[in-house]
Amino acid sequence: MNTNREYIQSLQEKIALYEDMQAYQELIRLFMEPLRNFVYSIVKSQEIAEELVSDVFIKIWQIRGQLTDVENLSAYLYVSAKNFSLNYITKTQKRVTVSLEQLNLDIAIHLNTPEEWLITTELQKRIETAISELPTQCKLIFKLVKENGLRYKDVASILNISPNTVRNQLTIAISRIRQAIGYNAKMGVVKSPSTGS
Amino acid sequence: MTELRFNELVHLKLYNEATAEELRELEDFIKSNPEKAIELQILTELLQPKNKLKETDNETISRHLQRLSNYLSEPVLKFEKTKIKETRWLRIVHLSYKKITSIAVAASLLAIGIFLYFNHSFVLDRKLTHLNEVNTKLGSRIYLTLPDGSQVWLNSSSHLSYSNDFTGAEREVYLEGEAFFDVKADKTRPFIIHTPKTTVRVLGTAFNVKCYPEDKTNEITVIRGSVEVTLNETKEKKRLKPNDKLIVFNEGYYIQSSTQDTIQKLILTNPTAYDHQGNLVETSWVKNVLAFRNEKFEDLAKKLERWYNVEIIFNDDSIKEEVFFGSFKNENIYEVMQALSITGKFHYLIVNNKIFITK
Repeated sequence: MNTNREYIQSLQEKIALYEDMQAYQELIRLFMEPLRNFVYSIVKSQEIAEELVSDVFIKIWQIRGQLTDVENLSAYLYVSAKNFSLNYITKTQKRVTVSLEQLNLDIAIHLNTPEEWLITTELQKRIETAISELPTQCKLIFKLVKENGLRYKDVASILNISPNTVRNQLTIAISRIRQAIGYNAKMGVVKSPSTGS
Repeated sequence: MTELRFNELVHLKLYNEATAEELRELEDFIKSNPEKAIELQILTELLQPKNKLKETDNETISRHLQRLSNYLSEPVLKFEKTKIKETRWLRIVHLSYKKITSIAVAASLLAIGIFLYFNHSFVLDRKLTHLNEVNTKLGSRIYLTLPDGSQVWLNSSSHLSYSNDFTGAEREVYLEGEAFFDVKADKTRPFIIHTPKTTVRVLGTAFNVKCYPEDKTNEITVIRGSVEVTLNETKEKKRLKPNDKLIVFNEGYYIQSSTQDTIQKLILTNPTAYDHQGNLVETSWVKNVLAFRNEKFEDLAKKLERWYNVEIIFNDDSIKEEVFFGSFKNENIYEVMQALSITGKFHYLIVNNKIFITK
């Protein structure tokens, strides 16, 4: 993954100091899709999600001169995307204020494709169900960590919660998933044709 | 170790947040509880972070860049809008004509006084009397009526001025850029257009004069009546009839004569129609149409720059030679670039008011 801190910082610097269009485009290439995915779970429309994320990047270009002041660009992008999405919801649904907790989010977490024999389709389905039944905030944290590759402390600052909450919620997620695996994991071992290998 | 601690260590390890101690703790725990190893493996398989985030496809990126440039670029001024705005400005000038004259006289007397005071030789420049000036910005075109009733359409990035004695024996105007004139007939008072390269003398006629200094050529196209063009440099004279087009090359763009071994500084030719109604490329801009036939990209780019107030930057000289045919009426620059790039087989990127052209 090329989204390491130093690489992002180098892009950030090029955009801020040299108005480097190439660096700006590279930033978009790396972040637009994951951000769109994140925004989608809030606004639940692909088109609007794309527009909102595009707005985020327009804003980035507008404030490019001050970009060096942004300490963590990746978190900054997510926070902006979240705020833009909530503003959008406030406007279109004529609510006074909204926060993520009040919303019914559409969060899908995709399991990696297993390469090992011991994971049966049935087991996968059980895990998927367990994940889909996780509380919203827990699911969102889990998704940002697993699918968007964000650090715990970044997730904490994006969602405006403490890093401890991130830890605890993930612990809850793992325990629910382990419950779903339960007896089946042992079955998998018993059924295995070549346990000795 | 409690189950809870195990769950915690699992995700810390999975998402690379575990400290060295935590990793050791997990390892030790698995050693003493080997049945947990399989669970850890399943969880790792299914839940480890994606090692590569899904990258944004190029189409999405270009959609965004388009939105960005839409957002940042100033709206292109349309013909009608500027017409109202700038003619109003023009009318104000006309209304306070006398006032301006008296101010100007006072100012020039003062200027002359200052000059004499500093003992400078002072020649009153003819241009000093050009009190009526009309300029068009990039991307805007205006229509105006001169005091004698002649009509002038001024294309973008052009400068037209006419002297105070416009109502005198000769009607003189100075032009840099492009204008279409429909001159009110007056046999007693010739209408004279001074441009950097040529002087055009007419009685009553309609014709187009194009004399942008950055272009390769100056062009005079006659629609009605006749004009006499004098080259300022050589005093050579040419008489143009309807449907004549005189091309005067700017320095550095002279061409080799095909028949004789001489350098040609001008060509007498005909205007080009761009549609079946016989509308001409040369005067299409008056009707707010941007038309071109067999035009090199390099030359078309200059037209587009003035028409849309953009800057076109070629990253590859070979694309400049591409030839285009077409006409645009209400299309914006994005639609124009899109259309051109389909036939022209080039790529482009619009950022602010700059358009980058690549192969």
